[in-house]
Amino acid sequence: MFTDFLSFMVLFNFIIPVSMYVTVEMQKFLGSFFITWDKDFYDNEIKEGALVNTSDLNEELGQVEYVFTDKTGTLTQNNMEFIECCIDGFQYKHQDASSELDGFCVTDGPVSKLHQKAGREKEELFLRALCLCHTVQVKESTEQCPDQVDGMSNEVDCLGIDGALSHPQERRGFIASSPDEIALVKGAMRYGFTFLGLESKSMKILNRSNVVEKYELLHVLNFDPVRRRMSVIVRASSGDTLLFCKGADSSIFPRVRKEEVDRIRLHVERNATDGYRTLCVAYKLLSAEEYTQADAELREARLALQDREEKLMAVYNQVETGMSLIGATAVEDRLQEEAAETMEALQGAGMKVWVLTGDKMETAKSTCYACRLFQKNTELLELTVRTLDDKDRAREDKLHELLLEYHKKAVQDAPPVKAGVTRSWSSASQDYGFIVDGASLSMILNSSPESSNSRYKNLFLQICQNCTAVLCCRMAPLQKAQIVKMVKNSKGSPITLSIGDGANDVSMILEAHVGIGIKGKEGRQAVRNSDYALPKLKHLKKLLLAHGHLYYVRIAHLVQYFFYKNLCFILPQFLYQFFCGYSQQPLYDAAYLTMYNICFTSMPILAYSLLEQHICIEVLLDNATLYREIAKNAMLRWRPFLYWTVLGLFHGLLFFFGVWYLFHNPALQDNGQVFGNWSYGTIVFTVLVFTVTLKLALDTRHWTWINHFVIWGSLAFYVFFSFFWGGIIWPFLRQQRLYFVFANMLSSVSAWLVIILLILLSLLPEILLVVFRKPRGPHSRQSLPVFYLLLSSSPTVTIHFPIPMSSSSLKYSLVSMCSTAAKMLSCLLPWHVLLMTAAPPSTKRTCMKFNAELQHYQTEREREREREGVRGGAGQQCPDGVLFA
Amino acid sequence: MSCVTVEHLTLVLDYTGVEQNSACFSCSDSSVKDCHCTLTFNLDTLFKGPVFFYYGLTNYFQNQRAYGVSKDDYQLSGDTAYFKSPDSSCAPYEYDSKNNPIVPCGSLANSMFNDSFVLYQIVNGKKVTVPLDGKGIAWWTDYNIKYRNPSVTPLKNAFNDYPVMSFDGRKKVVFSNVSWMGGKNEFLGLAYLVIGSLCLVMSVVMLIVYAKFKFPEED
Repeated sequence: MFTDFLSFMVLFNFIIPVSMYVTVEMQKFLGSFFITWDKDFYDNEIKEGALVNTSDLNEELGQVEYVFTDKTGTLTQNNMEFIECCIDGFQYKHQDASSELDGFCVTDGPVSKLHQKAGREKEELFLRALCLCHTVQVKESTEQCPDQVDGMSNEVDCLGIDGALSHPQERRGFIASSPDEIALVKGAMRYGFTFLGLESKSMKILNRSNVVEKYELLHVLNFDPVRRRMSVIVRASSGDTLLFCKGADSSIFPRVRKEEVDRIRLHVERNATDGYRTLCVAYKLLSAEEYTQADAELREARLALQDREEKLMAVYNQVETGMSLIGATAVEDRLQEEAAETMEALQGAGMKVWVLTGDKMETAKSTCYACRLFQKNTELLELTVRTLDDKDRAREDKLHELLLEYHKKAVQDAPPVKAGVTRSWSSASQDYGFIVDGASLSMILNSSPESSNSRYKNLFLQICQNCTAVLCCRMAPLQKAQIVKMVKNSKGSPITLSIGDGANDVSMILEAHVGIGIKGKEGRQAVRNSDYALPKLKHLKKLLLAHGHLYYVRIAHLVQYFFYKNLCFILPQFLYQFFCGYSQQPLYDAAYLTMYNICFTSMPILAYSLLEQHICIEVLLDNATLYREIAKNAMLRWRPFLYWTVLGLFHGLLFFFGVWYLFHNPALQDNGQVFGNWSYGTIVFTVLVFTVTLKLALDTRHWTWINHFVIWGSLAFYVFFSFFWGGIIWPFLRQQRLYFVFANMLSSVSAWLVIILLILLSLLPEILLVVFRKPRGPHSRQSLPVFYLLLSSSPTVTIHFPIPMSSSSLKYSLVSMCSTAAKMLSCLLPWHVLLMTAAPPSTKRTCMKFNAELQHYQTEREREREREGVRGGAGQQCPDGVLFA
Repeated sequence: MSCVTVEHLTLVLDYTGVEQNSACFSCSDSSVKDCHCTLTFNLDTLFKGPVFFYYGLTNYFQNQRAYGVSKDDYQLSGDTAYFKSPDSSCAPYEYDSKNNPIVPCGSLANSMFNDSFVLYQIVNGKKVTVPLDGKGIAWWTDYNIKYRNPSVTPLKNAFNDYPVMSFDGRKKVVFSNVSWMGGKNEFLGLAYLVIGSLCLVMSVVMLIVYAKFKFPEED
């Protein structure tokens, strides 16, 4: 009895598609190369393409619901440009700042001031501070412009200084870990103070009157994202010991005198609203005693064996007090190429975009507006220190109140959105943007250990989930990860994606399901810790909308197909047990059992799962909404699973009983000879191999020569193998079960007829489904736009495109005729498929090709219209892609 | 469509003899040795040749796994070295009670069908023997390569009461002629007709639908 059990186990274990794991792994591994090879990801500036660090997440790219993006270097170029500064409350704006060109190397002359009001002393102090308070190194080089230096995190910015400088080195490069610093040093240079470099602890500055000043560098109080400032302690040649500090306004303002703050705050806020990155500069004159004490403490802290970080931090905080504010700087960070388009596409695809940044709220907000994450009609819900500060009440209470208010607004009053269906373009519901800053966030996340804590968190999460965009500013790196974690673990465990370029993004990149690093200017840490590294932000669109979508569809199809093909493989064998006295007699020969998953049916699905493009990439990129169709794991839910299971059952039953009815009279040849059980199994197996392979051929929308090769090659190999396997007395086989079985089968007309019949019958429902399926999505909107274009817009169009259009419209009318013919054909499909099996795929291909051309044509038209300025009010993407004139 | 050229004809006669009124009732008793029975039948239509004469057993699981492997392929392919020591797969029909090796061994050989048939045509009350060919009834490759007859005189102890009662089986003889697609099989013809006409109907329906709502999206 137990041996019976084991025999059944052996017989039916094929239902578990063990080979699927191998195929999935291969698909993922090979599939990741397609991302690496993608030429669209190649960036000419850095001469690199995308980098794939893991092959395990290709399909997750198609399921992303939340995108967490860093601002600096990701949404923006991290290519800093010094715009203006404010010294002692007076604004200094460079003349050429508005011009786009790299107008650094222009002047060495006197500072051009809008209002020459600040005292010269203050000015020079400020510029000296800019020249001294940094960790920039000078790279003097005779080369024209070295693009990049070796070393992991540094970037050389090359810059030519005009001939006004009488220095031997005409060209110099600055190296710094942050492009801000370079911009500031360059900014100072523009106003006449040139940093010449650091030589044996002494910093040299060429001042306005072309005199070299020397400062002894005593201490550098390094920058860190928590303190958000850095300082240097230098000793001037006069003997004064000075501390220069620069940092974010929020970290500087509390450490300087109040009356100074008021003068400068206005400028800083205005600059931030304009989208500039602002830094405040302060200084302090250290008395000899003060310095000695600070020096001793710093040394001690540096040498501490335990808690060095904390001790250093404490000393830093202690030293950087009681300073006086001298000014502020504004540095512009331009948006990445196509940042707005990318963000729009991601939102169109139903993803929620969260911007997590360490920057000021105003700066970040204006970037969000520039990226169209916030639109004009977006109502902003703000939960920041500013809104929380209320004279009458404690912050906690205010937080509670605001959370409840926002929750009511965004969650309760919002029109109910059906689960799974995300907001469509046309709906007029109010968009909300949510702004939260680091301080408020830490109050929500980890403040009071009371029970209300988790309640806040829930409220917060719900509000966030109902907002189209969320901006988290003033974030520490760990807070970024905290947010990602919170969303990741929220209800429904959505797939999260983090994208960033700097070391401060590493934590969130690691935390999210998919981490993406930008090969930016802040070194390689993000790239090395990421799953995928891209040269530019704009590439994210293709990575998600095209690669992600396709890989998800491919892997989903792969998995379902594997279960299906094993089900209809083993079901006849199972049914056969009822007809052989439950004796565990295999239906198929051992060679067939072994080779079915390995040789006969593995390559076509592998090729399919690597190459399939059920919708052309261009269409996927143009219609971000298509991404929503596969959201929430849409292809691996109950419905498709049931469909495949029912299909497998239907095919299995059909194969077995079809041949069973045939074998009611086992005399299948014209010589009256009878066929046995191995012939039975071989006929079933032949039908099986052909059906599952042709089923895949029917599903294939994108045919390449590889698909043709593996699909027809697999079938040919099956036939060849069967002949070979049955044609020889194999010396190592005890029983020559299949000896001439296949050849004899092929010599029987009845066998041929039943094989053809069963294959067609199995695929008939599939074909009907294709014909009857309601045209849905853009890949089936064949006729409408073309007819629309041909019929309605001829006068205007002909005016716009005199000659080239007429030829192409001829082409399109031809295409439309072809499509009509194809449609006619496909209506007759079931009938004509009986005559011609090869037709359906080719018909589909025609449609596909046609659709691609149509899309191209559409976009061309749209562009043309934009150029003409005829673009009407329907500037937004229309729901169904029809253009309204 | 197969009916166009050749009329498939089949005649099935049950001779198990379970029924009391059957001519073969006496043969259903296993104690009866050397039993003969005669079945008389009429052919209403002409069977166009060649006509094949099959025997049939029901409830007989030839494809039982243990049964199917109970043979010695080396013996069957004529390798005399295996005659003295049959393969263990033949058990329990390896050796007889006197420990002599059985050739051919195994359940398959042991259960060889051994009823013998003689076919007469009654012409004017006289029995005229109808010759049965007996050639070409096995696959050529099986007969000549896979199972070469050893140069041993085959066992000739024809009984004609092959027991089927123990497994509730029935014994039949079948007369059948064949066409280019083999013996009579209604399944294929029916299936093709049904599916073909189904497709025809569907295509007509679709044509109508198509003609009526040519471009439904346009409205």
